[in-house]
Amino acid sequence: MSTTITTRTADLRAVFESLELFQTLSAAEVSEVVGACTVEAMEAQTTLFEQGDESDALYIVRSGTLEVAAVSPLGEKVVLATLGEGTVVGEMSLIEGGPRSATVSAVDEVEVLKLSRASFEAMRRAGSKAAYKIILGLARTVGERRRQTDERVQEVFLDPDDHIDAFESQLHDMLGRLRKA
Amino acid sequence: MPTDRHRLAREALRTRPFFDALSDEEFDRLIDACDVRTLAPREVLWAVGRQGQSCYVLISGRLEQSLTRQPVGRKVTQIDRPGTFMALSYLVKPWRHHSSAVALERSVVLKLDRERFEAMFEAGDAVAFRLVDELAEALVQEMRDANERLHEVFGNPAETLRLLRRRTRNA
Repeated sequence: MSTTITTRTADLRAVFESLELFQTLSAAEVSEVVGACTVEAMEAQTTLFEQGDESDALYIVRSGTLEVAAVSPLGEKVVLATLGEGTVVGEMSLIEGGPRSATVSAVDEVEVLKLSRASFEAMRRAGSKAAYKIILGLARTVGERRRQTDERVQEVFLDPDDHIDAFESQLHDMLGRLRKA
Repeated sequence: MPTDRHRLAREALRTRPFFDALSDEEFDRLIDACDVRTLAPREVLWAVGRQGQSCYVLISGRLEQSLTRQPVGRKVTQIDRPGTFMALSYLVKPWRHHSSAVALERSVVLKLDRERFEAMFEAGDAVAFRLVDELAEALVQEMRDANERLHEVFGNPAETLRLLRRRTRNA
């Protein structure tokens, strides 16, 4: 039994160590984070959380596939992504509440690791270096994302001629769907 | 040992919540880790494209931070409240600055280099952790801004199309 638990813990540690967000954590710090997580099993076609739910945890896909979908302003379900093993979902939930921007559900049988904001805040309050390293990791991710956003937006307005067609076609699609609805 | 620098910083910053929450020892450690920089009027603190290696805290004076952001154009913010953190995210990585900051009058700032911050963090210094707490607050705002910009441009194609056509006509 203890061998099984040790193997499972080592297995979970390996999941964390493979993820960029946790790359700067030492083995002991990863173990600390693993200890703060719970493992949740989901049956196929069940929902992890719904668009609009309060963001209260980060999830890591341990096995199986999740689907991320949102309801468009026209009321249509739009599948935004499918997430496989080793993907992190909702990392900003660790430092920010607010409503979930999409619904995430299991395509097949899924196992996820859950790190709740409450557990993470307890680690912060206790002065855990691991928790602070994770925030620095989030800061790197957000910083890169913001720079990519700036570049993407800048590109559109620097060469308007190159993008007018794409926005026209997007608008026509939207109007077409509105008429159908 | 407290110096003029400590006295100056204490007088300017102790009423600000972040600094007020630090113990005397923590406050002194933070000041010791920083350099004091005095800026002449119109002196540039950082410029667009320059690699950011430090964060700053305003002690006195007034600065102007400006950046160009599509589609709104140039955005200017005045910083005049002592204790305001500037360029905090550069403690994380030496990104290139997307804005510039210039002194509008004689101003004094504390400068904390990333390397010093990293040394404090690695040593498990609570002051470094408090700085990360402050950074987390700024992150939330930064993420919201990025999402709003994406939504503004790509989630509202009619308005973006109108702006693009106007720019093509004016080009």
